Amino acid sequence: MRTASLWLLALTLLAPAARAQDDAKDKKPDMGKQEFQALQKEFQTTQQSFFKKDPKTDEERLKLLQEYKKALDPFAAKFAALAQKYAKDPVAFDAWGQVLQNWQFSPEADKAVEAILKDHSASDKLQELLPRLTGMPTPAVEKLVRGLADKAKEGDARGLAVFELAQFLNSKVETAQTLKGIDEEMLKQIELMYGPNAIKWMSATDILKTQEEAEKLYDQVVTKYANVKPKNGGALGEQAKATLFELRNLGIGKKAPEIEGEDVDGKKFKLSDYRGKVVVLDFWGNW
Amino acid sequence: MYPHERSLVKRLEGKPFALLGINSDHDKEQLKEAMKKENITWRSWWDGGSTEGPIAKSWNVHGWPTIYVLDADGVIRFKQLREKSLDKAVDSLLEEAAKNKK
Repeated sequence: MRTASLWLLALTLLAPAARAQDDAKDKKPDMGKQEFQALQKEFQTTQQSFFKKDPKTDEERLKLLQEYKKALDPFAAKFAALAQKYAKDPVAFDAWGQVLQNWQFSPEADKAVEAILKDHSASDKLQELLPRLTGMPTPAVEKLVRGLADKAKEGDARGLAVFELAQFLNSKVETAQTLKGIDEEMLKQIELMYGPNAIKWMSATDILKTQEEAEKLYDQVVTKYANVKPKNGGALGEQAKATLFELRNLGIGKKAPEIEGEDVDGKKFKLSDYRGKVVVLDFWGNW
Repeated sequence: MYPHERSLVKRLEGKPFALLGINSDHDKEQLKEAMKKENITWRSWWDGGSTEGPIAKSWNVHGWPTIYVLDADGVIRFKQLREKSLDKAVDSLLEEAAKNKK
């Protein structure tokens, strides 16, 4: 059992881009799409060259991250330029999506949010992009999900927007909690990858307040939008209920549910047997 | 393995503290062996032999390991803390409990 290293975390966060959708009806050469695909290919090839490397020590990891950023950061401006060139075209959304997924704390990310709210707030591609973003809470993404929730018209679209905002806030809480326990090396790597403001911002989360807001929104989803079905995944009601359970019963400040079971010798015992003691519960495995 | 857990348990011997595990190992007998070998002295529930056992499921646990820190009243106060942060958190709750008793 190993906790994922930040390197692995960074890799999983850098998911391959949504491909520009094929428009079979359009017989004219789609310049924007071609340009995007070319840029995308260049970007991915550069990325791949780093994924092959296998850093063994913390120093090596840090060095590799530095090189990685140096090689890939220039692409942020390139994707942004492409998006600005093809502003209202769907390919602009794809380019902004790349910016938001890869350069979360950059000025380009802020531009991406502005542009999406202005020109692409009704894009059905948002359903694919948002789940990729909400797992890594950043100020830009917060602005995006709040903006979308504000703009959304009543009905399914609103249900989806409210749900995504709830998911984002839940992520924010989990990240803030995880950061509390992170060790120095990981902290260095995060700072290197995302910049010095990242940790500050993520740690500044008011956990209780954010949990409360998330709960209210999940509640809304359960009562008003339970049957809304996103492109991928089950109906919103089911998803919201599961997370609500966790927030309500396993959130900071909640009374822990009882645990009853047998120890390795077959003896029965309960969590409440330890009332009056400070308890650390460790879900573990020797694998 | 588990040096920090061992040192935590040792350091707080005699204090109102308990480290309790919820274990997901497949084979209970092998687990008992491992516990002896690794000097794992704290108690664990054996959750049926997988990560989808009843306890893990009811606590919605998907990532391993997952840590919860409860105060003396059974209230969840911290999650996912490790090493020094875990020590700090536990010590602060012990202090709190001692103050409340007075």
